[in-house]
Amino acid sequence: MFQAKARAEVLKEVVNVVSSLVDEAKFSVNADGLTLRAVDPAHIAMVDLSLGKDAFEEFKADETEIGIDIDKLAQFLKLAKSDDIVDLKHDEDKRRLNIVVGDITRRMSLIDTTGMSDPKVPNLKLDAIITIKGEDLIHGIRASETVSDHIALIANPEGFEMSCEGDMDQVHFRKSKKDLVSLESPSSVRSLFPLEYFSNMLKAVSSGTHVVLHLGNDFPVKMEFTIAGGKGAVRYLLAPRIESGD
Amino acid sequence: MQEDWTEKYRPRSLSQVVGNESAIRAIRRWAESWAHGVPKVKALILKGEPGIGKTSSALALAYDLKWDVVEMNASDHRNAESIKKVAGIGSMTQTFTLDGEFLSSHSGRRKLIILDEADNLFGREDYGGAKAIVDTIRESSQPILLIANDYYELTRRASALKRLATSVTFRRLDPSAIVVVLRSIAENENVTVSLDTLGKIASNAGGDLRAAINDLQMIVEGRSHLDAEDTDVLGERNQEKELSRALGAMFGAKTVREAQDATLNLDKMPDELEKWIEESIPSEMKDPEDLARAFDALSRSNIYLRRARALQHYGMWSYARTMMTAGVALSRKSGRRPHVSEYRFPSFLIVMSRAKGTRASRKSISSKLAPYFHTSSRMFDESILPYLSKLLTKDRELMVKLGCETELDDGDISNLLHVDSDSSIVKAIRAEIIAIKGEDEVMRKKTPRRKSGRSLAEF
Repeated sequence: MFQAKARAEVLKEVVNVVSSLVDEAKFSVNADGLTLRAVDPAHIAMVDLSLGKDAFEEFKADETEIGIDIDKLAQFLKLAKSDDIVDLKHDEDKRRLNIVVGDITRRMSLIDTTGMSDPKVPNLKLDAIITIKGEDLIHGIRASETVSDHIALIANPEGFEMSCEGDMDQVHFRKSKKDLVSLESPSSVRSLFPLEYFSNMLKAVSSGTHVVLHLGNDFPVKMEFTIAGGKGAVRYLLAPRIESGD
Repeated sequence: MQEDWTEKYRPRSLSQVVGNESAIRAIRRWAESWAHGVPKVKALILKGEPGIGKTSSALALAYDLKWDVVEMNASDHRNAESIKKVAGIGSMTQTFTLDGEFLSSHSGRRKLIILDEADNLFGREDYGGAKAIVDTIRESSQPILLIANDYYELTRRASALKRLATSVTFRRLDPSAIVVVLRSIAENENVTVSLDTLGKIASNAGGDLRAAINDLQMIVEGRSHLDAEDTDVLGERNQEKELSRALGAMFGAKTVREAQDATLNLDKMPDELEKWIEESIPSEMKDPEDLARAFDALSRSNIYLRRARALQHYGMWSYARTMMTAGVALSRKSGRRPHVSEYRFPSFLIVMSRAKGTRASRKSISSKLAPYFHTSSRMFDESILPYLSKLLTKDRELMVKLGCETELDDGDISNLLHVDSDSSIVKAIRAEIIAIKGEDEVMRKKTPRRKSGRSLAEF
C-alpha cells in the first residue's frame, strides 16, 4: 500500500534526479519513506536516492515496489505549479498509480519491476572530500560545456580544480581551499569523467545547496547533496573515463 | 507460462557453445587481446544466419571473463542518439554493473557492448545510426561485438566497418551437433525422446539450433515421453509448401483468430507476406465486392507496414498482420471459395528484382548529379533525370560539360544516353572530358587558385 500527498516541487526534484540517468525506475516504498537505486543503460553511473516520509505532506505506506516511467511522470508534473499538492495513490490490483493535481486525475499504468536490478552501493575508497556550493560547481560546468565532452576533477591539499581540455580550447576552474566550504585531500588526485553525465547530475541541485564530492585517483566520483529542503538525500556515482592505454 | 528453453539453456561459457569451433577460437583470441590494454581491433562482427549461436557466444564470452554486458537489440529504441548515449559514452568509460559493482579497466574488467541485429539497426533513411556505430568503435576503449545476419547490408550502410572491425563467420550447425544439444536438454527436463525423433527435429531445423530447441519445447510441452509420430506436427520449416498451406488455411479461415494463427509460424517478414497475399487474392476471390473489400483491407495493412518502417515503430506490424490476414480472409461475404492448388510467387518481387540493374544505375546517376542540381536524389530521379537524359542525347556539349563537373563514370554516361557502355559515343565523350579536365589540372598548377573569399582590399 502506498498513499501520499506531496508538494509538486518535491516530486519534480525527485524526477530531476532520476531522469538524468534512467527512463524507467523502481521506487521502493516502506513506512519510513521511499528509496530508489538505479544504474543507467550505459552502465557508467548510479543513483541512490532516499526521500523521508517527512518530505511529504501526508504519507502512508507498507513495503512495496512501484515501477514508474519517469518521462510520463515528468510530463504530468509539468501541469502542476510548485506549490500545488499532488495526491498519489498506488492501485495494486490494477497496477496503476493514480495521481491527482487539482481537477486532473491521471491513472498511470506502472512498469513491471520484476527483472529490474537492485544495485548495491559499492564501497569505494575515495580519499579526497570536497564540499562546495552548488552554484559554484554549476558555474564551473557551464564554462566547460562547449569545450570538450569530458572533464577532469582534480583535488590537492590546496584546492579543487575542474579542467576541461578540448582539441582547440581549454577551460580551468579553480577554487582554493578558503573558497570552498571544506576540503580534505591528503594527496593529489585526478579523475576524468564524461561531462554530459556530470552536468546532468547537477541538474537537480537547487540553489543554496552544498554538494559533497568524494574523489579518487582514476576512480569513480561520488556526489552527494540533499533535496526537498534537506528531507531527501541523493548520492550519485559516476565511473571515470578510460584514459588511453588501459 | 514455462520459461523459454532457448534462454534457459543458453550456454554459460564459450566452452559450452556447440559447433563453430573456429569462430569461437577467433572470439577467444580477440578477447585475450584485451588483457593488456586496448587492442587495435576493438570490434568484431559476428555474422551468420539466425539461431546458430552468435548472441549466445557473445554472452558466454562475457560470463567467462566476468565482463559486464551492455546489450542493445532491435527491440530497444535505437537511433543515432541512443547509440551515442549508451554504446558511445558507455564504451569510453569504466563500469558500474547492474548489481552496483565498480569494474575498473585497470584490473582488466571490461564492459562488453553487444549491438545485436546490427544490420537492422537503422531504418532505410537513418544514416546517422550507421555513423554512430562507426564513431563508437573509433572512440571506444571497451570491447564491442556487432551481430548481424546480413553482413553485406551492414557494411553497405557503414563501409568503414570493414576496416574497423574483423568479421567472424558463424555457420549453420550440423544436425548431429543439434542432436547432442537436444538430448542434453531432454535429459534435463526428464523427457524420454528417442534419438531418431531428435534426429528428425534436428534435420528439420535446417541448421538452426534455436528453431530446433523451440520445436522440441513445443512438442514436449507437458509430456514426459515422445514418439516419432509426434514430430509430424512440426511440418517443414522454411518451405514453400508450408507457405502455401498457411495461405490456404488463412483464406479458409472463418474467424479473426484462425486467420491470424494460420500465418503465425511462417518465417516471413510481414511485408513479404503481404506481397504473397496480394498475389493470391485474385485467385482466391472472384466476387467483385469481395475483391474490393479484400484489397481495401490489404491497403490498410500496407499503411501500417509503411508507417512501421518509416517510424521504425515495429509494434505496428501486429496491426498490419491482422489486417492482411483476417481483414483479407473475412472479406469473403458472398462468393464461393474456388479451389486453389498453388499460390504464385509475388509478381511484384519478380518485377522489382528484374529491374534491379536499372534501379541501381539510376541511383548511381542520381546520387552523383543531385548535389550538382541542388536537390535531393529522389527529386532528381523523379523530375529531372528523364528530361535531362532526353536533352543529353541531343546535346553532346552539355554531356561533356556535365562529365567534367561531376564524377559520372562511363556506365552512368551510357545509361544517360541509352547506349552501351563500351560504345564509341561513350569513349569519344570520355576522351573529350579527359582533355578538358587535363587542361584544368595544368592550369591549376600554373596559377595557384585564389582563396574562395575575396579580400577587403578588392572592394
